[in-house]
Order: sequence, then structure tokens, then C-alpha cells
Amino acid sequence: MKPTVAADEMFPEGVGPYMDLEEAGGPSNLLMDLAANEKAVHSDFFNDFEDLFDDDDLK
Amino acid sequence: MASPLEQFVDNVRTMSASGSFRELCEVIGKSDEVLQRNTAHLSTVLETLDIQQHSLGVLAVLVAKFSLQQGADVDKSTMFKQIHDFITNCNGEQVRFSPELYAELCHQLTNYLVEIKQPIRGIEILKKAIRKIQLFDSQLTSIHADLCQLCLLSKCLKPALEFLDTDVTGIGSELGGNNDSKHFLLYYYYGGMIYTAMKNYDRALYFFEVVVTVPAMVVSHIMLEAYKKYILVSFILHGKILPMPKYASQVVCRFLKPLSAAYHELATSQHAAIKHRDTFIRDKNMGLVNQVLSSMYKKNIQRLTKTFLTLSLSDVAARVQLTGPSQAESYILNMIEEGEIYAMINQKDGMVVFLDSPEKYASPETLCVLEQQMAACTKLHQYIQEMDEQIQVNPQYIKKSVGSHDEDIPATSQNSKTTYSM
Repeated sequence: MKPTVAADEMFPEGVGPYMDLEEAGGPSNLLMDLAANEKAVHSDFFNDFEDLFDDDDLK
Repeated sequence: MASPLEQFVDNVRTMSASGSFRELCEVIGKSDEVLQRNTAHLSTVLETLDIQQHSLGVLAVLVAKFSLQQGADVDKSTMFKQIHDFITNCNGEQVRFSPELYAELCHQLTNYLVEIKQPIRGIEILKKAIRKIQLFDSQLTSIHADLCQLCLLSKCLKPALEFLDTDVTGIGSELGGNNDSKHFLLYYYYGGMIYTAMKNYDRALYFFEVVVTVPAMVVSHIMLEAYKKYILVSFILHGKILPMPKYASQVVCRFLKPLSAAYHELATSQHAAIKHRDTFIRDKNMGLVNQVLSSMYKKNIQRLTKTFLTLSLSDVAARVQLTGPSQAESYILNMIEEGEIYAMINQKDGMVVFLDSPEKYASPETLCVLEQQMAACTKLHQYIQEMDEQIQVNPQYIKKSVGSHDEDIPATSQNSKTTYSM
């Protein structure tokens, strides 16, 4: 038996020769959104300093 | 048969003697587990090796000995002395074969000194460590960030300046390539904090700008904190938030701005400082926010000097929304001392006389400053030209530019090739 071709119901005639990814803001933007939503980095970096910019303690 | 640890020592001795340091680095890379398993014997191993002759081997043993994975039962009482001796006496040419391991040892020392709350002890030794591993003065290493961290914690800022004042023209291999950008970001973040504390706001703003313009795909917490300080320093220096350079990553616009809304509000509302007080205190930026408020009053007073020749102190207070003539007097006196305005206060009738700047820019000092600035510009131009030439002959660049050139050619016009001018 020949395997049936999985058809996308959104594209009953099949997709065109190519998909224009640029329409969705470009593939790089999609990737960027995905990555940025998934995680943030360096959350453990050392930032436990006193307030070094308080001029009142100089008076 | 010799144990794996004995084999390691043997390899270190023979490869160091024959100068096969690259091979030794490979052996060290594979010996991590052996060293970790034999922590009890590492002190004995250290006694059999010579710091100068077997620098790479000693470095690997020290890193294994003090690595964090071993938990709290590690005896760290001799740590400072041992690392101090190593950095002072090791062979710079040898350790340059493994800058990652060398930097790791410095990170361990930094973490230890932070833990025992004695950051000032590490400043001199880290300065020495940087100078030893650098190939040239303007090369950035990941140890730079450690030095700045210890300087900030001990509130002893000047030792970091000799490094911060040198513009970076190259980065160490442990910082480049696919390695994490953490120490690069930290250097510029801590550096910006040092310059801010020393009130060199121009340079501070540049350092924070470097952090927030690093190409990024995800949000870094270092970037976020740097962006908050970028806003505040921008207010102090320019009275407004400078627009971000166009080459900043989209992450900055999309995520950092909404995450620092309280800071943006300072531009539009005087009450933002009170409204978001808790946020500013939590971020340890309240001192800087107070400086922003004070600089706003100063900027307004400076604006008055452009319109008025004389003004009463109570008028000054009313126009810049200070509480009264005495506060206006204190601001004006402070500004005269700092050379921000030229004025005289007549205390008898409470009047301020604004004067013109006595500087006519005709002195030999001005000429000297001008010459220095021109020399700096010429030097920078030379640097850029040299870097441009290096890029033009870089095989990776040529391959990439030729590759993209091929892709750009439309299938129908293969005969009409265009050339790139570089």
C-alpha cells in the first residue's frame, strides 16, 4: 500500500514553491522572540554592593 | 604500576622539560577527574612540582584543589598564600597556553575573598595576574572584571583606573569565540560603576553603552542593570535619556525598556523619585536618583544664567522650584565651587549676579589640551586603519564576503559581476 501524503488542510492545493518567511518579521526575529521569552541569562551575577553613589554620606 | 595521579605528575614533568606545553594542556584537560578524585594528595603533588618549571601542572592542581564542586570541607586557609605565590612566581609564557584555567584560578580567589569579606587583599595580586597573562596593555581578560569587583567592594577604586583608562583593542582567548560574554559584560558594568562613583560620567556612560549594545539574543541581567544606570547617568550628563545607538540589539528595545519603566518615568514626572522609591532602593540606585534630581535643579539654574544678569535668591528658588532662598544659595555656591557657573552672591540684599566665563581659550594650557586631543584622534585613526587592514586579509572575512557575493548574484545576470570596495 502506498503511504498517503499528509495534506495540510490550510493548503488543500499544496504549498507554493516557497514560503516567504520575511512576512512574519523575518526568521531572525522569530528566533529572537522565542529565545528571549524562554530565558534570561546571568541572573546570578554579583551585584551586592552598597549604594556607592549616595552623596549624602559625604556631608 | 603507577597510579593515575603519579602518571599525571610524570606527564607534567616530562612535557614541561621538553617544552610540549600544548600537549600538556590536552593531558590536563583529561586529568580533571583524576585530580578531583585525589584531593587528599594534591598538597603532596604540589610539593613535588616547581612553580616556575611546571607552571601549567601547578595551575591545574591549584584549580582542582580549590574548585567549588568540592564543597565546604576544603581547607582554604592556605588558599590566598598559595595563589599569591603562584601568580608571583609562575612562568607567564607557560600559563598563556591555558588562559581559561589561569582565569579560573583568579575567579576562585575573587570568590573566596568576597566570601570572607576581605576584598582589598586581592587587588594587588589580581593586577599582577592581569599584567602577567596580557599579550599587550590594551588586551582585555576575564580577570579585569574580578579586579573591578574587588575594587568596588572595598571602595578602593583608583587601582582599577590604570586598566579602565586604557581603551581595549583586543580580547583574551578565554573571553572571545563562543565563550560566555559574562565577564566581558561585567567588566564594562563594574567599570561604569567605578567611573560613576568617581563622577567621571562621560566615561561611565560610554561603559554602560558598551554593555547595552553588545549583540544579544536573550536578556542578560547585567545588561538590564547597566541599562538602568545608563538612563540615570544620561540624565545627570545631558538632562535627558540619550537615544540608544542604532546598532543596539532589538532585545534592548523590546525587553529592557519595559523592565525599567520606573527609570523612564523620571524624564516625565518629578514625583517618580518618590513614587518608585522602593524600586530605586532595591536596585541600590537611590543615591544616583538623588544625584539626578540635584542635577536637574543645577541644569535649570544654568539655564537662568542665559536669560538673566541679576536675580534675587528667592526668584531663583521660585523659578527652579527649590524650597527657598537658602536652598538656592547652597546650590549656587556649590555650582560656583565646581566651576559649573560663574556668579557672585550679594548676601546683603540677597541678589545673584551671573557673570561670563573668564576662560577665553587663548592660554597655552588650552593649546596643550587641543594638541593632546588631536594626537589622540590621530592615534585612533591609525588603530582603525590597522584593524581595517587586518580584517581585509582575514581568510574568514574574505571567504564570507566572497560567499555572500556569490549568493547575491541573480541567476540571469551572472556575467555582470559587481565588485566589493573595502
